Amino acid sequence: MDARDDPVVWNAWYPVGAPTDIRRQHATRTRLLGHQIDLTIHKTWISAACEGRPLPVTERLGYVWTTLGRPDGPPQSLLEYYEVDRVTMNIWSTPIKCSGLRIIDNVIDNAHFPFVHPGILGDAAHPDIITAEPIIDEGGTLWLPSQRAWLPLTQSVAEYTYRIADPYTVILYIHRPQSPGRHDFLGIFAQPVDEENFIAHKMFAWVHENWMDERRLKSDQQWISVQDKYVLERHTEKRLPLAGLESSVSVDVGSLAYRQWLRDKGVRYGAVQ
Amino acid sequence: MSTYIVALDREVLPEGLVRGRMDTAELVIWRGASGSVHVWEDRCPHRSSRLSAGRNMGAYLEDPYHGWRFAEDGTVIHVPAEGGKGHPEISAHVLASAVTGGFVWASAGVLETGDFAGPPLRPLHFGVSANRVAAELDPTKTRITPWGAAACMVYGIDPDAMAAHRMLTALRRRLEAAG
Repeated sequence: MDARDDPVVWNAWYPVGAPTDIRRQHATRTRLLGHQIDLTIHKTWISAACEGRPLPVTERLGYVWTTLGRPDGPPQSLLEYYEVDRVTMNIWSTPIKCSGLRIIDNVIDNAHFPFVHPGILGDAAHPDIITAEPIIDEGGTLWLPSQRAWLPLTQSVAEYTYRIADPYTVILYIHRPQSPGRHDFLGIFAQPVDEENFIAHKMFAWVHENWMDERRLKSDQQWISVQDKYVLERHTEKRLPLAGLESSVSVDVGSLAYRQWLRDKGVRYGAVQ
Repeated sequence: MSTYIVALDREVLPEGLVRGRMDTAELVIWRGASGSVHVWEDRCPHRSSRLSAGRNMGAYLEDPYHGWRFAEDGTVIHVPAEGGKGHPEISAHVLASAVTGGFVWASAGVLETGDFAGPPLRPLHFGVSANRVAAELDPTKTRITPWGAAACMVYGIDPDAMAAHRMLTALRRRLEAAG
């Protein structure tokens, strides 16, 4: 389908790369929703155009964001990203061969941890997960609060909250037990190249601690993402079915809430009709 | 709904997984602990993962994404995230299948294996449509399984395997060159 026929998707903001990557690689061409995007690297900023039409750009959360449509505000924000005691990084921007909606469905699903990330985010001896009721706030953002799963590193149950402001993005709030009310953040922003391909941009913003080694953190996060990439590229159906076609069980509340939220918004691009 | 050969019996090993195709359907073919061969659509009913990327544990097949276990009859017997609960109402898409004459046969509808037995040749993939290949071959000695619209797999029986294989590879070269 033509992305123009899906107003929610067409009018959203998408990242097209990290400024450092774009400058280093002279990446002046990318794709978004089936259209070619031309980037121009200026001294202090990066501009974008589609078939000669200049597009709005904003740099936020470590990435350059643009839109082909008419969004009703700036890209989503995360004020905590700018706190002085945080380590912020772009983990990577990597192409993945399936619909970008699939990676959001993957991120919000803790049940795959013991099988896709064994020994890192879960282990087979503790496959149980605890879910909570999803919430949609007054801004229309979908929240999946307090999703609990076993974390082998700390030998305890970790708590996660997921925030979905746009169909193709999700921000993870990793609860910090030692400082209640504060979170470590990971962001997964999908740049839909077309309905069955996307570029995954991953944001990292954790509270700094003395043990942290940035290179190690980055490679660990990339390692987790590459495990997800393996399963994401092994879906028989590359698009996300919003209803029917896939059976769900009781622990899939988050996944079902996301699909329902997409249906209510009328999202069809990258989904099975 | 036609019946097609989807694998050689001897290629479906215990604890192994074989990927196959039949028309447009992708298949996973596996041998369970009971010794029988199963032909399923290569798609987990939960999140559409390819089951052939999972594991054959003998008594069950494990899905690669969430570790769901499927019994030999295709039903879900273990969902780890739910404390190992079974879901008999959820099942893999099981195709009718049978093993005769050294071949594994499958059908999306009624299974009709017919009379086709002999020393099986190594199957050969052709990059042209099943109809074009069928026009060139002796139907008593070969069976053709379409792989999508533009490719097919040829299964044959012949006591003189070397000569038959040479004939088939020459035919393949000629048909694929003709485009």
